[in-house]
Amino acid sequence: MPVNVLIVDDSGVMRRMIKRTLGMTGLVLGEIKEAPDGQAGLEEVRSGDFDLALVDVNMPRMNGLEMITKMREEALQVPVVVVSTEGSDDRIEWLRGNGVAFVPKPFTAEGLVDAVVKVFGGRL
Amino acid sequence: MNASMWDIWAEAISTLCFRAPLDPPEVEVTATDELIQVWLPFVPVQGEGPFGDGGALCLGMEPALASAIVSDMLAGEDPSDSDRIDGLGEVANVLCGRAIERFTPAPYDLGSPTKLAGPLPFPLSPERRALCRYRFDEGVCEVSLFASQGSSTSTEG
Repeated sequence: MPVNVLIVDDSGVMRRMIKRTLGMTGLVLGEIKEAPDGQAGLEEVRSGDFDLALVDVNMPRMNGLEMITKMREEALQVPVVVVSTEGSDDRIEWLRGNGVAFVPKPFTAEGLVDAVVKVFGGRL
Repeated sequence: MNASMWDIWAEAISTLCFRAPLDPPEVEVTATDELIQVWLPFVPVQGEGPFGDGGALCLGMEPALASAIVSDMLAGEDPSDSDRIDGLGEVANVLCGRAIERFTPAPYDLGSPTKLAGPLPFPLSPERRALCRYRFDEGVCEVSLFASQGSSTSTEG
């Protein structure tokens, strides 16, 4: 079954890099949508049907952590992988507590693939 | 600190676009006004850290090198002007995140990268900085790390 993915990052170059890397995961990809900040990403999650969201932290308007908090408050149960340079222990602990996987930038294709595969468990 | 910046850059650039800077690390750089410059400010999450109440990383790159590096990031696509700034901003973001992680346990929030135009986001202390210059086949670049004015701990080392 195709996997619908949302990529939320304020860098268009990074969104294209992530999109290309997703093509290496072995996932059968369905619709891939992009959003340039957390606010736009949240609106996409509210109105779309996504199986996975890849989210940056530092973004204008609404950062990734605020977006995830809003998603949890609104019970929007889309699995999230944070892809960010924001790798402080406090942040990673917060993400783990919210059931969010973390991939540090700069990511390798293998690192991103591993995180996505873990999110989907044996369902790939 | 400069030696550490070299390691950080080498790791970041090899992962982002499979490149490694050429030795030696200290090279003559062209005039700053010939570089594309991207600034990335950062502020502490709480209180003050070794960079005082903030700082900034500046990544400057010769245009031909910027095009080559961003093209590599895009798997060979020819980058537009906005792609170049966007891509350099992303490189600056990675460098700054790694530098802060390496140099201080205090968490800092990174701002959005901006092409240098107009005044700096806040007064910077020019004497408290790390400066590294790198050479690639397509040109040179430099990475500067500034602490805010009034920071009490030198970041030079």
